[in-house]
Formats: sequence, structure tokens, C-alpha cells
Amino acid sequence: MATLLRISRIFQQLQVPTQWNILPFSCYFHSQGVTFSELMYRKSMQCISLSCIDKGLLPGSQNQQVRYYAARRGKREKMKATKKSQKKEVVKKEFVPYHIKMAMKNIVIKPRRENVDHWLKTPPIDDVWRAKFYKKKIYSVMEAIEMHRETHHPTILNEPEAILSSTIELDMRMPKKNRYLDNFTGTIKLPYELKMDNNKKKVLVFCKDSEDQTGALKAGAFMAGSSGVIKQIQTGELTVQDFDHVVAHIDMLAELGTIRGLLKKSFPNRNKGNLGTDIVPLVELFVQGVDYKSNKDEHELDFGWVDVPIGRLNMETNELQQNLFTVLNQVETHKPKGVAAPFITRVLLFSEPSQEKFVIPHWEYLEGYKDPNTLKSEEVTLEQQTEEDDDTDTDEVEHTRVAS
Amino acid sequence: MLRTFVNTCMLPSKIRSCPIYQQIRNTFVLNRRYPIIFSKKGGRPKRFKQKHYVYDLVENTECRKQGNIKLILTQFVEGLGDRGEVVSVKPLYGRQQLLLPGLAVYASPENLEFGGKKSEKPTYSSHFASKTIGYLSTRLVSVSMNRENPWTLEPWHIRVAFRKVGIIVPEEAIELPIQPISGPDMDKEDKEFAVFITINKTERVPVRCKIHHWSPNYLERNDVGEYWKPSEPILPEQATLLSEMPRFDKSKDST
Repeated sequence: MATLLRISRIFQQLQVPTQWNILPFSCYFHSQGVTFSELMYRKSMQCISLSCIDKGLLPGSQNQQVRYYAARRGKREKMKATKKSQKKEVVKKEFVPYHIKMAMKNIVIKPRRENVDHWLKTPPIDDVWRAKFYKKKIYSVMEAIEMHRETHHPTILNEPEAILSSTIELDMRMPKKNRYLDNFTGTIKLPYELKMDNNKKKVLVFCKDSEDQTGALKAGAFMAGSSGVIKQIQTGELTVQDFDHVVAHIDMLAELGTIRGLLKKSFPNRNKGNLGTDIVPLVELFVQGVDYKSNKDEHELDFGWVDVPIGRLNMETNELQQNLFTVLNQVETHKPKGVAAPFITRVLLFSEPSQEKFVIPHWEYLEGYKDPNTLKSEEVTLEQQTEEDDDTDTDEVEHTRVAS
Repeated sequence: MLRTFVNTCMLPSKIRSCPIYQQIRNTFVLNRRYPIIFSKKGGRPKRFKQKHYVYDLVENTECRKQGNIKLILTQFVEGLGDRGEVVSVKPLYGRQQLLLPGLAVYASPENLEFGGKKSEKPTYSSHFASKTIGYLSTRLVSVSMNRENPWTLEPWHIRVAFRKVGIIVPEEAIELPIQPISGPDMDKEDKEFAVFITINKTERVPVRCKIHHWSPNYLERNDVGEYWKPSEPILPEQATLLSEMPRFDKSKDST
């Protein structure tokens, strides 16, 4: 005990922390046969080393930061402020219903238009019936024209020379998913000419040959020329926007390259059909022909349509039918490659100011088209067959299950 | 649980003391996920392991789509059929709308023997006829005629006017008033007359029409105004007929 007390006193003198449990140390050292002086030496050295570590003098203490002076004024507050600024404020997203979200974006939600009224299955039974409750009747072209003539009769609307037009509804899907056909334009020369009430179309012709120039002017071109006209456009005397169409001979292509920027979209192109060697038929096409432009629904991107005039009601039905044939086959040429589904989905005949529109069988005028209604019924029968097959399959499966 | 509880409550007090459990008959078709190994012929049957009790649900037979049910109508039902006609309808509609009010009975062999024959005198020519009669009798059809060229009303004028509204009528079914109506006459503007239409050559319905003068010139056109309001008849003979005819009431309209 006496030795222990002595040790404790010495430790007090060395200012050793009181938490140190001296007893086990001393016992250990005694048992090892270490002299007291040696022990004291070791302990003192330990104390010194510990204090050194505290002061950060030894190489092992580099990770610990110890300061014996006050931090700079306002440093911590600044740090806090920067941390606050760096913190992103989490904004709670409130749930907005779909129709309100669309209304905020000024987008009108409409139900998808149904081209085929397959949900009305029954054909009419009675001789007096409401069109609303049954499948839309498909009239032949003859009947549809006759009905338009009735409404435009002198005793009713008194417009027997009204223009008869067709609405051709299109499937704008491309072979790739979520890709749709862009709007297209074109001109058709109808086999039986349709004379419009409004002014003649303005056609500008570029050709070198003087014979071609005179021929073009005879055919109804507004202006025909070569380098002189190009200079006029360059100086700004003429603007291309005043003309409906620009037609050019192939010889003029090199010279036209100088005003490519001014012509913009109306620059002649073989694909568009306004570039060629025979100028006179080209001019005739663009002067007499009918322009058409496809329209697209804003939200229903796979739905498009073209309104093309066919003729006048006072023309003969045979002539009108031939015009319709050419129009439908012309529109069919815009079909994208690699699409299996039919491009033209429905064709309607209308004649303003009457608001009536009659569906006609377009598949009779196009190659490779079939009556969609008969197709539907075939599909239904096929489905039934497959269902029956499935049933038999399931039965077999059940039998096997029982056997196992 | 609820079913048994209700059953016990409904029963008289003597039987209520003993519990009655109503049996629910449903089957679940299951498929064993791990196939079992067969025991040898005459050998000891092999014990099932834990995994042999793992099943996959193939079908719940209660969720199976039910087919149509066959019923015999006891009286004329609008849009469906006449008395004694056998019809196949969706089960829920059949039970709630036909069996419950007593408009039909099940097409059991006994019922078919008893009343499965069509009535000799049909109430209407077809089961849609009553609906079209109700529609036509309350409707007002505008017959727009030219303001400049002379005309007298013909059946095809009426046919065109009906087609514009969405009613398809053959020319034979239209019956004009005996006294001819001709124009253009601005005194007849916005005035009524009645036309008779026969559905399937049996039901004769009077339909209210109005004359409207149409001009291609926009400035010369008449303002239609409140066209639905009652006005004077063109022909004095038809005054009583027009006054007796019902008028369109939006509150009663179901179409």
C-alpha cells in the first residue's frame, strides 16, 4: 500500500489526469519485475508525449485541428449564410387535374373522332328512321351527287352551279412509332376542267427559248423570261410572293441558283413537278390545275384531311366520277413508304352552302382497297374462330392437368 | 360473415338459436407450380414436400363473363320486341329492367310451351316504331324554300328537309295537305302546317313543319328568331289538328 500511495503522489506532482487508474499499472509492473525508477521514467515520458499530441506538435497529429485563438469575427455566420444560400428550397408540387392543366396551357381536350361507327351495329329495320341511331349510310357517288343537286335546286337554294368538293380523311402514321406525316401540297389537272370564279392563278416562268416563252404566255402564264426577270427579282422590282407558282426549264437551273435565297420554298424542284423540259404542259398544269393542301389535327396527330374540289354540280355525273378517280389516286401518291395500313380512311362529298356531307365508297376508285365494313365482319368471324380454338386449347390443358 | 348474419336475423326466433351457414359455391382453378413425382406402382406413396403446396391461380370462375339470357316478353317493350317474342339480352338488364317489373319471363321449356308464340295482332309494325312516333309527333321541321323563284311544295321538298334534320323518309311515306302550298309568299313565312308520315305503311303520324324563305344574298335573309314558339297555321283546315298535336318539351325529352 505504501508504494501505491507513493506512486499516486508522484503522479499528482507530474499533473497526471485523475482518470488514470494507477493500480493495475503498478501491479503489472511489479509483477514484471520492473524497478520503480524505470516505471516513473516511462510514465513521465508518456505524459509528455500525450501533452505533445494535444498541442499538435507531433507528426501523428496532423488530422486534428486545434486552435488556441478565437475564430475571425463573423466567419461562422458567413459560413452559415453561404450554406443557407446553397440549400435548395424544396417546393411541394400540388396535384393538378389533367383537364385543368390542359386548360392552363390553352389546349382543348376533345374526344377522339371516330371515323368508323362500328359501335352502332344494327342497320335500320324500318323505312322511316333517324340517322343518329344507326350506322352511317354509305351512298354511291351517283346518289350523293343527286342529293346535292336536290338541295341546290332552283326552288330551294338556287345554286345549280355550286362547286362539289370532297373531304379525304387520311391516316398520317409513319412506319416508325410516334412519327407522323408532315402536311403536303400539290396540284392536279382534272380530266374535266373546273373553272373557278376567283381570278386566274399567277404563274412565273423561267425559260431561255423564245418559242417556249410565247407558248407559256399563250397557255396562261403571267410572266415569262430568263436573265432579265432574275435581275428584276434581285433589284427588288419583282417579288416571288406575288406569284402562286414558279415554273422553270432545266437550262435555267444554274442561273436560278443566284436567287435561291429569294425564292425560298418556291424554288423549282423535279419532285414538286415545276421543273422540266416541256414548258407548255407544265404551265397548263399550274394554271388550270386545282391546288390542294393537307390539314392536320393539333392534338390527334395521326388524323389528317384534304379538301379537294372535284367539279360543279351542273357537270355530268360521269365526268365528276372521273375527276374524283384522278383526285383520289393523286392523294394516294403521298402515302409514306413502308406503311401497310390504308392511307385514305374515309371520303365525303359536300357542296356549300349546304352542310350535308355524304360518305361514299372510296374503295371502288382505288387499287388495293377493300370495304372496311366487310373487313370488320371478317375480323369478327376470325376472332370468334380464334376464341373457339383457345377454348379447345384450355380444355386440353385442363384434361392434362387432371391426368397429372 | 355479413351474409350469415343477415340470414340469422331474418330467420324466426326458434331457428335463430342454431347457426346457419349459407354455402358459397365457387371454384378456383389452380396450377401446381412444382410438379409432384409419381410413386411407383404398388410402392409406397411419396410424401408431399412443402413446395408441392405452392399454386398459381389460373381462373376464378366467379369472374367469368356471363352470356346473354333468353327471355319471353309478356308485353310490348320499346326497342326490343313485341308480346310473346323470345329475346336474348344481357343478364343484368334482363333481371332488373324486364324480369323485375314483370315485362318478361324466363324462356324455360314450360314457359315456351305456354306463351312462346307471337301475338297475331302486333301492337306496332316494328319495335322501333313507337319510338319514332313519339319523336316525330313532337318535332318541328323547318322547310326552307327559295325567296326568289316560284315553287309549290312537293313530297321531295319535305324529304330533303327531313334529311337535313337527320330523319330519313322515303317519298312514298310523305302525305302533303290536299290544298297546295305555293310561294314565295312572305305571308307564309314562319307559319305552321302539318304533314302526315306513315311508318312501315301502318302508323300514320302528323308532323309539324314551318316554311322558311332562304335567299343566297346574305342581306336579304330573314332572321329565324324564336322559331320554336307556336304560330298561326298556313291552312285554316289544319288549325284544330295543329292545336291538338303535342309540342316538344325539353324536360320530358329522353332522346
